[in-house]
Amino acid sequence: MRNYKRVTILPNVSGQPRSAEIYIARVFIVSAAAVLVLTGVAKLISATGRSPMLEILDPIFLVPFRQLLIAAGVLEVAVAAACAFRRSHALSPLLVAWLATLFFSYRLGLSFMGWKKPCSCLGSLTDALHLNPTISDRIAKVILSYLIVGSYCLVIWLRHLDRHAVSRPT
Amino acid sequence: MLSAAQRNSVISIATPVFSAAYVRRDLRMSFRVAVLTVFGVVTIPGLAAGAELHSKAWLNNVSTNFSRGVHVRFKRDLTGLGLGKVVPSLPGMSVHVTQTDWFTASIDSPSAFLVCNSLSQSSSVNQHQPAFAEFQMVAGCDSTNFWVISNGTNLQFAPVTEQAKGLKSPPTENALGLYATVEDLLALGVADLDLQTLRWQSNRFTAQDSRGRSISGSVTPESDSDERLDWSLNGSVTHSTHIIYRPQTSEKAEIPVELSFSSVGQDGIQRMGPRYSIEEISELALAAVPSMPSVPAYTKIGTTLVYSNGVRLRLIADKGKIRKITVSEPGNRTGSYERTRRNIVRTALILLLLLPAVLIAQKRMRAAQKPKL
Repeated sequence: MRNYKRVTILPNVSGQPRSAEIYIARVFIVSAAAVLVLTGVAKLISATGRSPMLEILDPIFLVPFRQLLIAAGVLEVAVAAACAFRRSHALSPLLVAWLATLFFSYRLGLSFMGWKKPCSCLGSLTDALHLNPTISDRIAKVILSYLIVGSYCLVIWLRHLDRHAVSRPT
Repeated sequence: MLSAAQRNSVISIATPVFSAAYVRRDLRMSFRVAVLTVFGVVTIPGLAAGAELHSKAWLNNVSTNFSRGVHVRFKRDLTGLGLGKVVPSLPGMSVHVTQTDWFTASIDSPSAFLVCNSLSQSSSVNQHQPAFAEFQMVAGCDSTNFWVISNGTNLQFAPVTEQAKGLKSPPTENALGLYATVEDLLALGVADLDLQTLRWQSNRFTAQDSRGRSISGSVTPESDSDERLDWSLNGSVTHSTHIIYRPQTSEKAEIPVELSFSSVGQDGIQRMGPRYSIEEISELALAAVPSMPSVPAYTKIGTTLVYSNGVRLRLIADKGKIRKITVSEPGNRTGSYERTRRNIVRTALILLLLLPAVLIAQKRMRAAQKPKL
């Protein structure tokens, strides 16, 4: 009977040394949680606004943008909370990867359907900062790229570590 | 009943509580929070919808004094819901009955937004844009039920009675099918047109205004979606009005089509309807089409709608539903919308959304199947 050792990137596990990779991974998860809280709260606040845009139906889900912003905001805050509070960080990059893929697919879908308007993914936060929609759209794209690349890299790396641990019985 | 902001607050509070409970492995607690949240989110809009239905029924009772099955309500704009009735309900609005079957309302407020619903379809008259003020507009909720006629800032609501229906040109007799009817005449500015005298013969008509002056004219198709309405007063001064049709959404995207006019007056100056950018039209079309129950009476299948700013919007329908919309601006960008593509994208996204739940369920099933040692 072989014993398997679960790999976590938790830095405070006693006896485990902190490597640079672990530190980077932790920084990524914390930063992803911060970004998700920020964008999620921005969406929730925006959803309470009175912009006529909020009443327009989302072309994919056929619900008003207001409801979509609420759903997305709740999802982001929930994932951020999971990233911030979960002791085992093994699930966090998976959740971030899933959410980022979802958002990326949504954008891809809009583009596939011929939607030309900038995505109001950051809600009215950018309005408050007097950013024009194109710039805020670019910011959202940069954030999304960061989340996607970071989370996928982390997931792949964790898999690699996990396999390594599995192949080395204790 | 909670407002949208309060509802969002409930969700915003519930989510971290749920997350915290889940993180602390308190599954019972997290389950309770999830159930309560879902219950709140699902039932509160339902309550709101119920209240709205109740209001509609009440309005229906009121309006039955004037016609059959007509709902009228007024909105200040897209956000504030102010239910209207046939008494003043908006600041600056006055309503009075002019004839047995007619009542008129004047709206001074530039931000007033009027929505009327009939049993089957609905239309809106938007007083938001100053450009509208110089045009007389007509919107028919339904070709047999209800009209809204706007003459500048004066709105006339004309429930179509059996008598009025007789005066209205039957679509089959009109060379233009379902397009230009008596509403177009009223849109010309002949606000005191005497409907009792209106007679159609094919695409020509004769009528009198309230002062007994004779009006005659004709309607000529110019393209699939455009018509020209020529008419003269006492056989002397001739007016020409170009009628185009453009999609418009209401707050619930129930109204896919609204009439829009650009007219050439005696002075030869063409007055254009409100101009829309390609994005705006695309947005309107995208917003309007998904909830469109069927192709509205005003549009023809396969129609290309041409707008006053040169934008062309082509509707391709299949089995009575609009399947594809293409929008193009002269010389440059085009956009398109396809129902099939939307369905593909939506399905993919829903599957992706459910992926974690599926994976968790799969993992638990595997764990359950493993023999415990």
